[in-house]
Amino acid sequence: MNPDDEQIDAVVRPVALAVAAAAPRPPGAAPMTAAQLIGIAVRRRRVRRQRRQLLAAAATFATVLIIAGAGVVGFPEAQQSAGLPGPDACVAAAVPVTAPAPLRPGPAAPALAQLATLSGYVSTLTDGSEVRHPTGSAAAGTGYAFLHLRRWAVQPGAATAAIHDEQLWWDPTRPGLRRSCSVAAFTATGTLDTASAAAIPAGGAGAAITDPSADPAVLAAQLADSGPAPDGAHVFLERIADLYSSHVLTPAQRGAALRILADTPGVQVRGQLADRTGRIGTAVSATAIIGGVTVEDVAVFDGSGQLLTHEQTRAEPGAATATVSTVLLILAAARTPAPAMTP
Amino acid sequence: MHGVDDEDRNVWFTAVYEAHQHEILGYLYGLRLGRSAEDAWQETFLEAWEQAHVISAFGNVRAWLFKVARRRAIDELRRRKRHAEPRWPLPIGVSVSDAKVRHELEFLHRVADYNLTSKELEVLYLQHVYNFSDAEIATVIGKSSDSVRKYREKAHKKIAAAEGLETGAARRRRLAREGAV
Repeated sequence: MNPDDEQIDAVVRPVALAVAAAAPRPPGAAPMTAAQLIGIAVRRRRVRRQRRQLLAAAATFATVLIIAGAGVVGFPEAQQSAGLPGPDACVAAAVPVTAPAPLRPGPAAPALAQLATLSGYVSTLTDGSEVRHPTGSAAAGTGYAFLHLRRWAVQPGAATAAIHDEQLWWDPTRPGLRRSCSVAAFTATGTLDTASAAAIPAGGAGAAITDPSADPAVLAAQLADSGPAPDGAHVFLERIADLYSSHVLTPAQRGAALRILADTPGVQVRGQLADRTGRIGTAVSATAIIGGVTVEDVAVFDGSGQLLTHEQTRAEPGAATATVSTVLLILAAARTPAPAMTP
Repeated sequence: MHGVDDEDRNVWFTAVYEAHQHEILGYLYGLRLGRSAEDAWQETFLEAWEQAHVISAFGNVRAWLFKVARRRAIDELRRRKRHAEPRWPLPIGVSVSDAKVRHELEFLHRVADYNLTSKELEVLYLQHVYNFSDAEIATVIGKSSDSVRKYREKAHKKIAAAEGLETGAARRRRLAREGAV
């Protein structure tokens, strides 16, 4: 410390300490023990989860109604694109309509060593070095970010799935494009499907984290702040899947995401696994018991740290097998020179 | 409960609680929240339990707890501000030129005479009372380390002027002047 600063500190320290000494003191023991606090925290978490489950069920029901309604009345002509697949092609793009069977990851192993190694390797990559997601003719960091996503959602106990296929091109300064195709399956009324194409405003279609950090500690805080307080490793896995499905991440950002998973207790590596398109990567999982239901999240990352798929399965108490509740496939994550172009 | 996951969390939380419970409670009482200090204290530790994964990744548990406790205190003060003025020595959002504050305690006149801003005062308070580094203070108050350093330098300058001391910069300027002569 600078000698002059020491002189000033000698003036300030006694004053600061006197201020602290003059402050009211706590009345002896702490108001609660650690065990009491844990009891409150657990009760609060249970209430939050019940509330979340109720909201999710309501949202799913509303979504199904909206999709059904859109299919019956059809989308306005203005939103249809000449080059877009029609209903038949939409169905073809989204099959199978039946609820998919769960993936079969290998035995669990601690995540730290493997994911930390992968994270370290991924962080050394440069844009454009992705193994399975070439950047096309647009240079890294230029052009439109492009994501091709496909999702399945299965209601508990249902034999069929609602499917949504989406292609997104966006840029911070120019309008982008969203092409989507949805299939909602109803045992009573048959299959309804819809297709649409629409411009999206500059800056993209909105993401929970607008500027993901490449620093694992900062990114972990961003993930934690992007929703209700995380209460388990599965939440981080879900939010990292959300991150990958709303950004074309740089190698440094992917490395940071993997590092967080490596450092998160409860995350396990489940060996090499092929996703539903046959792409092979490292499977990572996290399990939670929510309201008695065992929920398992499985994600598969390729050698460049790119998320290939994220799935969630549910096993009711006493059930012999788990059923798939959601599937996300990231079919492409790249940059393209213009909207509607694919790598 | 999450089985093993929750067991790990509870073990970790108990250790954190044992290490920091009294200090955080003291800090919150020091912010003159009265009995609300205990509510803020409870919420701080509940948040720590909920965010165990984040804090583990973050590394500095103590600074994180102070940051949350401070945020909880600010929330409480904002609620209370509608009814009553916050009181010294809370450096958060309190003007030391406030007449009520200035006359509350005799020795505070000395600090008030320095005309420190609330942020400058808070930086000095966290540095001297809780021995936090610039980086830790930056975490607690949500500013950059560089901003913390600037707050401290400005505070030092004001104190030096009031006490007739010479700061490093002033000394360098004087020496340069004398050298030139």
